[in-house]
Amino acid sequence: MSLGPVVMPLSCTNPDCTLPEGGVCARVTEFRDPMAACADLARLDPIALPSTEPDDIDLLVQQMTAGQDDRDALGSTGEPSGQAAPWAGRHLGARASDRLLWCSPARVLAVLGPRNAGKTSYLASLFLQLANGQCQTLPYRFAGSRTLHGTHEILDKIRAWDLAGQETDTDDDKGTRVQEIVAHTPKHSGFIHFLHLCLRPRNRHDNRAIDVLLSDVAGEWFSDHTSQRDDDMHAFFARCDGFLVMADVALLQDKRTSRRHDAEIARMIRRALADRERAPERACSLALVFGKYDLIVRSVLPPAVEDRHTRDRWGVLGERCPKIWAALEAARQVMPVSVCPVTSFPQRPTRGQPVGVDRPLAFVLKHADARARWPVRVPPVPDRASSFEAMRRWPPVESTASTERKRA
Amino acid sequence: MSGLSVEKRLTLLGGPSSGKSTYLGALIDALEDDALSNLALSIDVPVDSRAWEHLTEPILEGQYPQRTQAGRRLDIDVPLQLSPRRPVDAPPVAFSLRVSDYDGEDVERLFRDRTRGWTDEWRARAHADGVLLFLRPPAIRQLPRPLASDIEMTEAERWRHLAGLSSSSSLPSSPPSGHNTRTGPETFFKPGLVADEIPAPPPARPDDPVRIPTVLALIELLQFIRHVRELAPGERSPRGRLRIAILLAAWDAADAGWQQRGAAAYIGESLPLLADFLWSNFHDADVYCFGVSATGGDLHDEHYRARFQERAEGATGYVTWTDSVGAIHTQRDLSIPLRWALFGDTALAAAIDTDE
Repeated sequence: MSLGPVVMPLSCTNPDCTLPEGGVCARVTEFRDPMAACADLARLDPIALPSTEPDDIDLLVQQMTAGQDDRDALGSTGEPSGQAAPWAGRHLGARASDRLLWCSPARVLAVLGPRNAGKTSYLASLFLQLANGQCQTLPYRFAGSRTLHGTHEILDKIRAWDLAGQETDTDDDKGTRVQEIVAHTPKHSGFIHFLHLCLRPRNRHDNRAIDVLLSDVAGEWFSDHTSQRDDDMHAFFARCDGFLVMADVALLQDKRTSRRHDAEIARMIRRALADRERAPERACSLALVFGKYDLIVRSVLPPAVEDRHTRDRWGVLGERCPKIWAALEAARQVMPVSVCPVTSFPQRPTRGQPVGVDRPLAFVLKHADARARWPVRVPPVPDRASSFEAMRRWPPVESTASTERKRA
Repeated sequence: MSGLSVEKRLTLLGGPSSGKSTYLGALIDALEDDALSNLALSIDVPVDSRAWEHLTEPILEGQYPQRTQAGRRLDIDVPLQLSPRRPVDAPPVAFSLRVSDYDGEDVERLFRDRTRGWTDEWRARAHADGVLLFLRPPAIRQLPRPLASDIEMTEAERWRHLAGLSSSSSLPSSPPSGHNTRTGPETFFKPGLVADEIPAPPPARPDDPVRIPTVLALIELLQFIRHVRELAPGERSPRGRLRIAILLAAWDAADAGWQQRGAAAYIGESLPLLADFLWSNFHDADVYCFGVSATGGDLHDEHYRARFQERAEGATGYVTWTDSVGAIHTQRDLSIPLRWALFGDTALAAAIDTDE
C-alpha cells in the first residue's frame, strides 16, 4: 500500500521534525525522499475506517501509515488490525476535542504568547507541580489526562537536560536554557491542538470531574493571527473560558526589545477581548503571566498579591509596558484580570522548585468553574428582639422597622 | 465438600522488575505448602504444572525468577477454595483464579507504540475482578534527597529566597526520609484516626528537587482499562466492582522510616500523581496499599538465602498493611492482597483475627 500525497501546508506528528518549517525531516537518515516515504507526515486520502475509529488525528495517521507487517495484517480491505490503543495521547486534535466538548462541560483555556515566551515550559512545569502534589492553591486533584504521551515526551527532554546538567555540575546561562528544556512547538496547520487534564475538586462533596483543555499552539500562529483575519482563531477565542497570556520579562526588561514585545502582548490581549465580546454570556478571565521572572527577581521583587494589579508596584515592568497595562485596564472592564509572576524552571529540576506556577491556572479556573449559589435569605430581626434572637440571625441584618422606613 | 464455584480474575500490572513473577512464584509455593490461612488449593481440580514450575523453580532454588522474556505471557489458572471464618460451619467457596504474568516491558511498549500492542489479551485483563498493581520502591526513588519538612512557605517567601534575600540556612533542616514532623490528630491520639485515604505530600522547600514522575505508563494503562470498562475520566466505578491493591514489592529493602509509617504514606509522598489519580477515579474503599516482601529478605544475601532455603523462623515472605485506626499489621500470608482484591475489607478483618 503506497502512501498518499502529503497535506499542504506540511504537518508532521514527529515533534523533532522541522520539515514543515523549512527544516529537515527527523527521520532523514531513513528516507532518501521524506516527502514520498516518511510515514509521519500528514497525508491525503485516508483509508475508510470501521466504527472503532481512533479518537484523534495522531492515531489516525499512525494507522494509515502502519509498518509493513501491519499492512499485511490489514489485508486487501485496508482495515486496521484492531490493536491500536484507545487514543494516541500526544495532543487532542479537532475531532477528539470536539467530542469532549460535546459530552462534558470542558473548560477551554488559551495559553497565548509569542515564540519562546515559555508556554510549553510553563505547561510542563505546571504538570510537574501537579504530579508532585505541590499545587497548593489549586482546589483540584489530578484525575487523568488523554495526552500523557505528549507530556511524557516533554518530561523526557527535561530529564535529559537535568542529567546533562548534573554531569557538568554547572548552571548554564539563562538565554539557552529555554531551548534546552523543550523543543519548539511546531506550527500545526488547520486546527489547534490541546493538552488535556481531567481534574476532580478536592471537596469530597463535589463529585464532578472537570476536563481542562489547554491550548498548545506555536507562537507563530498568534503572530500571524494578529496581522490576519482567521475565522478559526476567532471562533476559538470566543469559545475560551480563560486566557493565560505569557510575557517574557527578559524581553521586557531589555530596552532593545521591550517596545516590540510590549506591543505584541498588548495586541494579543486586545484581540482576545474583541473576540470575547462576541460571546459575552460565557464567564471568562485573563491572567497575564510574567514568565521567566527569575531573571529579574533580584531587581524587581514581585509585589504582594493584593497589589499586583497596580502598575506602580512592578518597577521596570510597570515603566516599560505602557501598552500592556492599558490593554489590561481595558480587559478589566469586561472580565476579571490577574497579573502573576512565574518562573517555570529557575534552575535544573534537581536543584530547586519553580515559583508561582499554579497561581495563574488557579485564577482562571476559579472563574471558569464558578457556580452561582442559591441566594440565602436571612429573615430580618424583629423590633424589640432580644439579644439572643438577634444573635441567632447572624450575620447582622437590619430590623424590620428600619427596613420598612427605607422602603418608604 | 460443596460450595459455589465461580471464576475470579485478577490482573497484575507493573513495569519491568516490579516483582510480579517473584510474588506469583512465592504465592504458589506457599499454596502448595498449604501455608496460607483460609485459602487452599482445590484438590479435585488438576493444575497446569508446567506454568507453576516455571514460576516456583527459582524460588525453590533460593533465587529470584529471571525477568519474564519479552513477548512471553504466562496465563495461570489456580483452583482455590476459600474457607470463611464466620459462620464456622459455612462451606468453603471454590473459585478459579486466573492470573497472567507478562513482561513488564509490555507496559512501557504499549505506552510508546499506540498503533499495536493493545491486544485482546489486554482487553480481557481489563475486565478483571481486581487489579494487583506492583511498584518497587527502590526502583521508584530516583533522587537521593528526602522530601522537605512540613514547614509551609508563602509565595512571597519563595520569591525572596529565589532573589537571594533569604538563605537556605534559615530554612529548617529536612528530617530523614520517611519521617514526617507534621503534627496532626495522630500526634495526640492513636497513630492515624482513619487510614482509608492516602496522605498528601508535604509542601516542598525551595531547594527541594522537582521529581519527574515515572508512573505515567501505569496511569495510562489504568486509563485504558477504565476506558474498556466504559468509565469516563473522574467517574468512580460502583463500590466493589473493581478493586486496586497496590503492592510495594521488596518492602524489606525499603527505608526503615517508611516501613514504620506504612505503604500508604510512601505512595502519598513518593507517587502523589498516582495517589491523586486513584483518589479521583476510585472509591477509597476500593484502593488499598500493601507492603510486600515475597521472600522476606534479600536472596542475594548468602546468609539469608541459606535461612530461606532451610525455611528458618522468620525467613518467609510477609505482607504489611495499615488498618482503619492506623495500626500496622504484618502477616506471613502472601494471599492477603489477593483476597482483599477479590473480597474486600472482610479479607483484612479475617486476617486481623488471626493476627498473633
